[in-house]
Amino acid sequence: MATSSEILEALADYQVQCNNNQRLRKMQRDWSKLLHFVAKDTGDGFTMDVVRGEITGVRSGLVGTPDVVVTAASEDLCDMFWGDLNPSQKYLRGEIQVKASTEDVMRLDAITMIIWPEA
Amino acid sequence: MTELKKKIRLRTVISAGAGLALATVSYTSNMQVASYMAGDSGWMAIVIAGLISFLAAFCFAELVGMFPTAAGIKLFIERAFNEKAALVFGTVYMTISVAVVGAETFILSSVLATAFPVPRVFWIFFFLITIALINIRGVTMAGLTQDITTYAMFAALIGLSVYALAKNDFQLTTPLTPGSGMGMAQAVAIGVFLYLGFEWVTPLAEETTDFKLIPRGMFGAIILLGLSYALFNIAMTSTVSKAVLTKSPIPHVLFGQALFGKAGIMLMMIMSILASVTTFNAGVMTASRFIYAMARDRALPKVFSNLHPTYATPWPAIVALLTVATAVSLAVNFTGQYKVLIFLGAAVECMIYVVMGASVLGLRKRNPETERVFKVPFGRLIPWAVIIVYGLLFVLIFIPDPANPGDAHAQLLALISLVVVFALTFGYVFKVVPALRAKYEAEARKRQKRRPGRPAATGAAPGGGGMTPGGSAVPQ
Repeated sequence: MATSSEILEALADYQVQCNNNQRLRKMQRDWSKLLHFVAKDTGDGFTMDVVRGEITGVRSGLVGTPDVVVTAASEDLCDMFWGDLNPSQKYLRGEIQVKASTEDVMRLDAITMIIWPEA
Repeated sequence: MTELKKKIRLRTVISAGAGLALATVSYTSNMQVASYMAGDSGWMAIVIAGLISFLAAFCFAELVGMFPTAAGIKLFIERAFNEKAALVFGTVYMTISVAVVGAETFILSSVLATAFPVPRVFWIFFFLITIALINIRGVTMAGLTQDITTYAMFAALIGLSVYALAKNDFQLTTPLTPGSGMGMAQAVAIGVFLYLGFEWVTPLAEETTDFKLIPRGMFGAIILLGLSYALFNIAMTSTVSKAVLTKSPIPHVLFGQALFGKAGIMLMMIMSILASVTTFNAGVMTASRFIYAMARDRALPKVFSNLHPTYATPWPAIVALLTVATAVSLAVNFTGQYKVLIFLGAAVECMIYVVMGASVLGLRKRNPETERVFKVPFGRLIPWAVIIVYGLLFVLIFIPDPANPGDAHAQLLALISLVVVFALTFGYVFKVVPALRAKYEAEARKRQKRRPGRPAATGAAPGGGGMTPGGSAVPQ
């Protein structure tokens, strides 16, 4: 199990990776969403604000009404944010659950796809 | 469960399912159903096909309640059986669905070529290129637009049918005498094709926290489809000679012409375009996402996981998909064998329902403790009924009917096509996929993990996957 601080550390790195990737910023320039991440084994929740493709904030706790909710094991969340895990494979096996529109699911996966294409 | 900002409504779930199922090829297959029934009794087969679709919808409801994800059918089969079975059935189902897109394009092009004196081949390319561009651009029909378009189309269909019946003073030929039992059973089997698509609303489970919307939406879509198709079937056969209608790929245009002359042709052209747009809108998007997901899962070459740099759409998947649809459409154009795809579509739909019934039973055995938001009533009765009924219908699709000897050739070609698709898919899943995954696994091993402190988990489920040589649970 990954602790809340481990996931926050991973999220902080994820934020830097995303915001520094110009290709991703261009692709996501119209994408402004509020995302919730829920660790199903620990019950920890995290909120991420994306404004025009830029991650403007990540914090502990579930704040606001989200556009996207991602539920996964804490270890998977942590590995996903570090880019060590291909989220599509977990998603296709039902181990990562997403509540969102088809387009938002695609956009979310696109982030990993662009930053870590070999993941 | 946290509520989502955007909420979908029941009317949107119904319109998505019904809109996907109602395509231009539905008019053609509607008359195909009529050709196996005596007089104006084609509606009976359509209603029966609708009633048994309810049984299949029950199975989908239980499965999607357990796994409310867009990964849908593939995940249900994988959890009930194994990944190879999921890949085989998922790929065959998707491939045939794409081929049906080819048939749809051919028939729509035939309609447009009737209304405008431009060769059909032009319309095939025009329509498929337009669809490709729209999908690559990521333009989707928003909920309200989709609802208005779909319900307007169904209202027009029902209104036209009632008008035609009233114009004929409701004079019908043996509307309650179906003819031979064999003919009726085959008509029901083909009638299954008319409902193809209602189950494609299952990915919407991901967009709502109110799960009950999905089964209700599926049932609503089946009712709307059954009512509209049945009425339209009687209206058409009571207005134009059935012998003429069943020989044409565009019977609804002949019907429109008989009702309103040139204006009727234009009306049917508009209805065809709307029907095709609603089908393509969701159909191409879903199928291209399936290809993308397969590539991300290392079951297809990496190229299919590429995204458009601006629109974040899986453009290689969209191009590949529409290339196949174009090839099928051109093949149908030059051979005239559009009925093959109707038989093929009906067969693959029956096949997937059988697999879904088996998946419900398999999961009850493998995961009896897993919470089920919806459980099919009457124990195992309905899943078994689905397996038996659709299994029989699947077989019937390929048995020549003495009353319709003209279809025997198309039935044989459909059977051969299905066997070929299955054989190719088996080869791909059992030979190519393990090799692909072994290659990507080797690449993944070389990659430095970024997470500090401890080794990273991989994409493969612990003990799951097992598609690499030796079945190791390593990055796939």
